[in-house]
Amino acid sequence: MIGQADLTMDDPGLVEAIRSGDPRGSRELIARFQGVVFGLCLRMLNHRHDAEDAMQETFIRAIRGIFGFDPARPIRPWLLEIAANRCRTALASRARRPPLAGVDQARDRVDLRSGVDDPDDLAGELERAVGRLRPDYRLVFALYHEQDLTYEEIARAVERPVGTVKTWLHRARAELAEDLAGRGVHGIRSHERPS
Amino acid sequence: MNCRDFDQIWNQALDVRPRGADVDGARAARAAALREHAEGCPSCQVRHRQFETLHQALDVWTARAEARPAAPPPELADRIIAAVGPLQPPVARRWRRRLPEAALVLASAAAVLLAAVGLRLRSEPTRTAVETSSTSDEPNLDRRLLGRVVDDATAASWELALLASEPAARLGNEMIGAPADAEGPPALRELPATGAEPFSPDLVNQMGGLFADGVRPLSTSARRAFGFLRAPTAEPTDRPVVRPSTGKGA
Repeated sequence: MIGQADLTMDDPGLVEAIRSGDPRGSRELIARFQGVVFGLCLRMLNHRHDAEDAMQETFIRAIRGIFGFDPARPIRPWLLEIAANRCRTALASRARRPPLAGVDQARDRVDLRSGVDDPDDLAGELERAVGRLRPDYRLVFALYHEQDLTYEEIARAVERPVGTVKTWLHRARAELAEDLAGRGVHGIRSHERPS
Repeated sequence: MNCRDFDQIWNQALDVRPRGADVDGARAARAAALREHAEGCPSCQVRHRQFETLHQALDVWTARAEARPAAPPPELADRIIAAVGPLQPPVARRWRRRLPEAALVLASAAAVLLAAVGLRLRSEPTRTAVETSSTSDEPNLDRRLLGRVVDDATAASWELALLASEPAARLGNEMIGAPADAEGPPALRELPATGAEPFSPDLVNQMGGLFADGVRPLSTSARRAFGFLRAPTAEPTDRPVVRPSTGKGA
């Protein structure tokens, strides 16, 4: 059953299993990476149904393109690269689409307010602030801080130079910092922290 | 430290991953340097407080994301597997990918072969103007080869004109034959019928004869642009002989 990944198979072995036509290979790929792919799609699209569509399209493209993938590369950044492209396409399509009148889309929107042991709701405030970033800044921020990709991997995913990625990330941080301050969100200052 | 360094060092601090992996000594030194600059710079002091808040929010935010990863619906995997279907065998995929390349290579090879064969199939004895020239030394061989190339180009242009438009083709024929032919342009009926193979010897020889007689009806640019599309003049006049420039094929 999908949900439990087989941690014994490394990435090259997984690629080989998919190429050989073993259906368990594709299921293993989905089980292992569905969380990170769906997380990024949800972060970018902020809509559960759209995120599911983008995630589905990501894995379909990845499995169909498995023969062109270099097995020496790690799979995770490659999947996130595909997912980033799918999200950009979905956002562009959404921008061209007129808003549906009379349709309740609130139920598919992601509730960003729940937190874990966060009395000041810093995480929730940051979550909402990230949602207000422009898409390319938000993508780079999510890929770095949420998906732990390197600058080079992010540059490949967004098809931009590393310098541009750094600029976008630094600007995203500056905007988030100003956004939080503008909403009156303040953390504990360094000299006020217990040693 | 200046204000620009201040922003860069703050971003370096935010770059550190995973959270808490920074060496305590380096972290403390960096924090002290940032604080020291902020205390002396009012604008950086504001940004310092903002970045501190962001830093703390990031710590909590990433911890929450790791604790509660996003979960897609379980049936999504089945939908993906069903949508992918059976994967194509690598060999068939490689062949299909390379088919356009192979077709292009074959077409290029065929074109080169046809051009070479077409050049070699020219019959010299019927071209009397060439025969009256000097013996078959090298300059004459080059001249004959050049003549053949021009013949082929003319024939190809003629064929294209016929295919495109018969009125335009008639006009083109008159343009080719008009300038140096004292008896008037060759009548269309004297030319081989259309539908003949592109390198028909009679047509080629007739055109070759005209060129060998010094007929140069079209300028290089006009020939290149299919001069048969130009409007005819009222009557044939003395036209300047325009020699085709070398190296510029039709």
